Amino acid sequence: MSKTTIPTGGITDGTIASGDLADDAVTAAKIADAVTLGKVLQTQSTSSTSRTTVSASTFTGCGLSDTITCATTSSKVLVIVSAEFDNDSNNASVTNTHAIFQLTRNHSGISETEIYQVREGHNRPENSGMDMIFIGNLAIIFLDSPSTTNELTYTLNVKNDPSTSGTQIPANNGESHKAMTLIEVGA
Amino acid sequence: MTTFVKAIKTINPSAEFKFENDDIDNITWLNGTTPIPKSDIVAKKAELQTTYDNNKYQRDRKTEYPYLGEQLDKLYHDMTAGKLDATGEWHKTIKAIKDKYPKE
Repeated sequence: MSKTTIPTGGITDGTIASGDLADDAVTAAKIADAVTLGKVLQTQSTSSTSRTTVSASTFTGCGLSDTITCATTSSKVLVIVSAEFDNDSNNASVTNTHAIFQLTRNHSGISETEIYQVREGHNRPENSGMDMIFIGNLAIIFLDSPSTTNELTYTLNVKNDPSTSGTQIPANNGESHKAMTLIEVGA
Repeated sequence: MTTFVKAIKTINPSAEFKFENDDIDNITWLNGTTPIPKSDIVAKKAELQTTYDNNKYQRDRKTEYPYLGEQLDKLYHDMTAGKLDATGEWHKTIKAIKDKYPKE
């Protein structure tokens, strides 16, 4: 009887249970090759304390981006962005000030797509006669489906509303970071 | 407190720009903004800081002045008591704060 075949009647109850297999019959590598669903295939991350100041009415890069190249077109990319920022209205006569953040995916320089946008702001119902300054924590967790194996670049941009305001990222306290993590998940 | 952003916005409220770590030698001017010379920005920042420092007494007073409704209530009671002069409660309250933080 060959050791590489299962003889007729060898599986007496008709079911292959773990006890019927030799210890080395299925290697970890074979399992890894066969099972990718939900598995973390790779991670990329970047972090910086370099403070970028932006005062603009259109989306402008704020010094945070990272790249990843997926193994398969079916992979998902979990994008995690975290940063502390501050926003100053620079204007005593306004009653609100906002920093608007945008996350984009650039596909090998072929196209750029906005995949997420969030507005962080501060409002005062009455004009206080003073500039408004607020500090906020930006947290973006977004599951992207890029459907490509080309290199992808994810970038964080910011613009200001009103455009007289300015945003610093990370906040100007000497301790903050801005960080982006990209996780390719098999699907 | 003042910043380079405030200085630039005081010179040109419509200016759009970005820079890193307060490095105003390397400002990226955005959306057609005419660049402002560094010397102008530095001078304006110093001017704003001087104004800010000189107005400290105003900021100190502002935090201690009673809420507007409370002040109006004091005035009402002073009126009722016929004390709309330096003997009234409103006048005494405001004067105490002004004396505490004199204009320099």
